[in-house]
Amino acid sequence: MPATPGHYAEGPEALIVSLAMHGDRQAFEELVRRRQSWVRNLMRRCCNDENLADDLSQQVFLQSWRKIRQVREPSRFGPWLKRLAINEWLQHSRKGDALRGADNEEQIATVNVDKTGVAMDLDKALAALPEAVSMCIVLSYYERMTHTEIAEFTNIQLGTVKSHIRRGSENLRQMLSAYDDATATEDAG
Amino acid sequence: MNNERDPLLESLFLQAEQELIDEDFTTKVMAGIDRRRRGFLIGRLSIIVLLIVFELLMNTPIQDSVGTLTSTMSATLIQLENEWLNYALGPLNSIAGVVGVTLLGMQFLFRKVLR
Repeated sequence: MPATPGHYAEGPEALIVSLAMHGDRQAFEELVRRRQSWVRNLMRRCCNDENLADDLSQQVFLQSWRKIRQVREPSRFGPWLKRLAINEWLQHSRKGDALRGADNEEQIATVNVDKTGVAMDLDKALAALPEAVSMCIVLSYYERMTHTEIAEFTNIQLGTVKSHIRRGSENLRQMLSAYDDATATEDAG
Repeated sequence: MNNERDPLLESLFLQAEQELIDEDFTTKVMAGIDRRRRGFLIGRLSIIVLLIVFELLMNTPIQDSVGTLTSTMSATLIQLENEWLNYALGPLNSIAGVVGVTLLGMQFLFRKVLR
């Protein structure tokens, strides 16, 4: 008897990953449902373009379906998917440097209409940073990865990761200083 | 520097995170998987068909060419009276032998002169 999508929704992720590894399409569909929010948010922070972020997220899931048999432990599917997502972004940024930012202003105005103000401002500020710096910042703040983990994931030297995060954080703080003032006002009130 | 994070930026990243669960996205991913699978199948079928066509078209010419080449290469250059000598020198006393010796000579020259 074929399993229904609702049936999978209640299962533990490791089991669903095991099923997907054996070619169960519905199990993989459930994984896409569960993990899409995290992957899409990561991509949005990285590229400041919702459409591009969703395209890249789709690519990440297509790759993961193709390579899912390479997962060694089903319980470590999350970190494995994270690696795929970051590699996808790195590949994209290597390919598309020339096009990046060509029409950023227009995209910000048209694409981000349904974003919250914070998300929009944060993404705009991240986009103003050099790509490697913004990547390190996103991995540190959004993914909560340590500097060593970021260095391993991105093949950037540890010292460079540290300085990217330090300088990037300072620049971001400057660009988003309005939020600092707002927080201070709220605290005082 | 340790792994400490700026509290303001941390809170902004948390606030910026949205719950993005969209059935449309899932459908697109699954459709993409189907498309790739179809493409892969079509690619495989095309290769099989091409191989069959190639085999049908080229079977006779390839066999003929191989036959001609084999008989040409094994043709004896100098007919010797002694049958045993003929057998012993057979590998060298043929076009293939001359070609082989020439190639070895060229390789030797290349190593000694050009390097």
